[in-house]
Amino acid sequence: MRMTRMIGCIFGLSLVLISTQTGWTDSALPASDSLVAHLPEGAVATLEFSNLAPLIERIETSPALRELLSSPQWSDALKLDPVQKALGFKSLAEGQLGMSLWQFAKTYFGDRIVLGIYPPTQPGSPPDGVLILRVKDAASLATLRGRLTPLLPLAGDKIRLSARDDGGHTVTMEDGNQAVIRDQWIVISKQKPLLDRTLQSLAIPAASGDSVATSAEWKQMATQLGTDHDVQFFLNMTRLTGLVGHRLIPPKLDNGVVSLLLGGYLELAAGSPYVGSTLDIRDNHFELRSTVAGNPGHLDAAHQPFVLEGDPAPRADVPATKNPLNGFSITRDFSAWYRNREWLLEASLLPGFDKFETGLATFLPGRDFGEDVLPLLGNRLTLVTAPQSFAHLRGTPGVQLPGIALLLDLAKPAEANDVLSLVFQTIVLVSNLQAMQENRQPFVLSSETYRNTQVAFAKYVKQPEGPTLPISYNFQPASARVGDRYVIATNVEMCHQLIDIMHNEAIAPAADQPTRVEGVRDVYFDLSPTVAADLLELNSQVLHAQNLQQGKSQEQSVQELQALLKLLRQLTPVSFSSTRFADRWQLEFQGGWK
Amino acid sequence: MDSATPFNPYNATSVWTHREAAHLLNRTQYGFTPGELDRAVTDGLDATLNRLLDPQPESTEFSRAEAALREAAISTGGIDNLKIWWLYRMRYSANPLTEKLALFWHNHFATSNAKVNSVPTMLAQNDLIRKHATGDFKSLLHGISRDTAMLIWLDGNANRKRHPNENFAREIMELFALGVGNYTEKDIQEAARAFTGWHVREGQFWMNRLQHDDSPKTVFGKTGSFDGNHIVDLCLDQLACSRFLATKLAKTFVCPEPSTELIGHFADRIRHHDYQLKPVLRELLTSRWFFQPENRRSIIKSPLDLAIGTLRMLAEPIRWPGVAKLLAELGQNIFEPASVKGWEGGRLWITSSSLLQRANFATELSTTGQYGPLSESTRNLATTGSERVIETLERWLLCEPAIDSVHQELLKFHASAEGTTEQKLRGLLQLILTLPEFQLL
Repeated sequence: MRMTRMIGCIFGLSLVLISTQTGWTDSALPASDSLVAHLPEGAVATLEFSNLAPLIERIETSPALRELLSSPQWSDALKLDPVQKALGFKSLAEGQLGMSLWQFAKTYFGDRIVLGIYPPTQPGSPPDGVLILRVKDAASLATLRGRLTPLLPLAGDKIRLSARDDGGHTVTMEDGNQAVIRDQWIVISKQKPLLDRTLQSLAIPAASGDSVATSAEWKQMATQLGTDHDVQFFLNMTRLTGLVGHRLIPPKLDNGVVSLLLGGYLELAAGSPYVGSTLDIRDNHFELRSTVAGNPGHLDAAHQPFVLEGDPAPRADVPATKNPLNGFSITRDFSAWYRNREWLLEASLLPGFDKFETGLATFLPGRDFGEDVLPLLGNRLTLVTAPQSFAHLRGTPGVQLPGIALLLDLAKPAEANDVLSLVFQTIVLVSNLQAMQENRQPFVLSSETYRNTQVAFAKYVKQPEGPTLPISYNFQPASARVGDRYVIATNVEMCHQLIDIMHNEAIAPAADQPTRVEGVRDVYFDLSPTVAADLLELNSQVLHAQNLQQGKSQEQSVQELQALLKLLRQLTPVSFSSTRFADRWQLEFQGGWK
Repeated sequence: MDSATPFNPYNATSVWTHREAAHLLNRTQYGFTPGELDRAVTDGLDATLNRLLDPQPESTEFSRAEAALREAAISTGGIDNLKIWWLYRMRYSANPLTEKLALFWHNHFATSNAKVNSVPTMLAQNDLIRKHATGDFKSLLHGISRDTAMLIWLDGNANRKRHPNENFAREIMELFALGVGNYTEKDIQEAARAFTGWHVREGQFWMNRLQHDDSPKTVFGKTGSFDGNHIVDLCLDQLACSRFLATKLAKTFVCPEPSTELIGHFADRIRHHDYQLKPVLRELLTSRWFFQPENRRSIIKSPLDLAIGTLRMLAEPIRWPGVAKLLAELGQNIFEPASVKGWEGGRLWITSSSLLQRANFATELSTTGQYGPLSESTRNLATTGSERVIETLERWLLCEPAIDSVHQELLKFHASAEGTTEQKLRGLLQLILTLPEFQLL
């Protein structure tokens, strides 16, 4: 059954809602409130929405929506033909329904909706499906029926209505979809057997036999993720793989970055019985989770670089710098991943690695990246960015970039320090060659001792001065080794901050460290929209110019920038993480608003 | 026209219709809008020329946008942003002739960011040539000889007392002031010595006295302890200088092959006005020669004339990054001329490849809106009748009615084309923009 038709069917159905109420009662509901318990066994995937009414209410009354509707952009949009038509339809529909579309959505989509996708009965056909919609109050359906039944004749032969023996009514659509309406339920499907089994389950849950909720895959997901979520998606990987006849996720990936970030998760997903995703929206916060089941430790040898033991001493996901823009950390056996690339990545990507190694010869003459360099590094790489004060300038660059610092764990600190110092010096040398071409000041290498740590840094002979210095003056490279970690930063300020943090970490007891989670965190990323907004505002002149270059007017450009900054300042930090457990791998995306 | 008095003023008693107005505007700015054409017809030649030659106040909208684009170019250090800044000025400035002359001088003193590699330095040179664009050529030549971008471009820092570098001395004689055949190799060698020590230090002109050769030099038969300023003055004193300048101005504003008589006359006028350009330009643009029928549509449009001129007439707003890219593809990459000689132009603008790209520009402008949507005044034409819309487009785009056979073909196309009135208009635009006549100024 085509999903779009099924969704369309819901709206067509509202034309023929009837008031008869017999048979099904709340007492017939299964113990679990999830409607998945009523979907017949055999579904490949399910998608369930629960308790959307409060969310719709929040959107309806949110200040953000009010701002959007009073924005100049919305005023412009109102002049567009499709928007005019949509507003005309809205007025017509609200008049006929006797309620606003917001109220309609809360009443009829605000309780529970579940969609089950089933394998097609005929090979090559679109998949079949069943949709169950439950409203809180059966009387609301009757009210709606009263308002819309007079419109039924307008549909002609395209929609037929017939009474059922059980007191319900069947609506038959021209395309073969059937909808059964009884009490507080609407059930839609094109396949009669699926429809009948669903109806039977709703009438007498105990006698309905197997459902999706009794399958081993669902049960495992329910155990690991729970079932009390605003939105829950379930994909039965065992069944889907059987249908397709081969692995759904290729053993070798066609993107090196995706492999490095998610290679382990995807490999586990390929053999997992299910993929489950949930979305929960609270007052000013949302959490999106995706989980696959299996023991990551049992992945094949090629994927072992993704499965490392957690840190013996707890560590923060990213160092807590002042006013951070974003942080990123990844834990991998980089050296093993690099060696295993032929087994992890498609052959077409491999020549790119050869080019990378050739290019790297400038920075690391006489050394092999895979054999001589990567083994010197440890398993964790951390990146942090934050606005900088430009203390190294008498003025500011015309485009103000955040400072960036890379923190590398070292497996062999002394040897790694030499190699990375060579890389640092070569970067400065290459930068100086470029400075000559661009007629700007070259760097001079210098060093200092900061908290008993030797810091190498580049400085300018004469402090650059001016209100709009070239973009290159954002950079004043600095590097330092602190124990078994190496910092390389785009400015001395960031380098000092990280040295402070590492010294404090060494002193502070483990219990005082922030952000600990059950399981092993292997990837983490966060971003502060407020700090991003501050940076964008500092560079608003350039953004404004880009808008003008695209033909926008002064007024339009300013309004767009203000709207963007306002939006960003309404948001709280967002984060993404990948966490490995003994029986599953979980991705999590979180964010919020003020 | 009275050929015996080609330099008589083309004044109020002469014919002044939209054809003459369009000819003047096409040569003195990058195209025109329908409103600008109507205003020029109404105001007459003198008032229009006064507006073009006298500084006009810029609008607040223009000043703000121009400042933002300029600031962004400096802040980012991106030459593409600087190109867009200038393109914006060419299209929207209230002083379009100044912008056209700024391009003339940019081509005359061709300097490329490919070597200078500094947006502020290129911008400073651009400001210098704009400041003197309609002013005093003597000040401009003196200014350019100390300009940082020029000194970097022609290796000023390599010009040292014991090892004179002849680059600037050669170019000032060959390309900037005199032209080939009006100096000797010895003149260049001696002049190079005079420019020794004219260096760049921390982004500014610097007279490096230790590297300056102050011993006597002999240039153009005169001997003295000349420095660079003396050499510039000696060049300006040469009769060849005014002839060289007159030739370039005539080729740019009047016709591709100006006669000896025309050049001689305006060389005299340049000297008469002591290299003040405004009166010379006024005489040139009001001469009967300028309006002579055979000199109209005699110059092949440069990519800038084609792109900015067409967009000025038909599109609003304009998406500039695509326009800058198009200009580079068509061979006129501003701030990055191919060599010290600049763009030679003329027939070299048209090659089999560039002709195809010009046709593609017409297609994209009239159909996809890649460079910006059609302006309201253009779209309004869609609702007018066949004869009216074609006459209007011929007046706007060809400056005068097309020859009868072309006009009939356009009528036939409009009558038989399928689709909405706007689609018909777009088809018509595409046809006119690809006519050979449209490639001419």
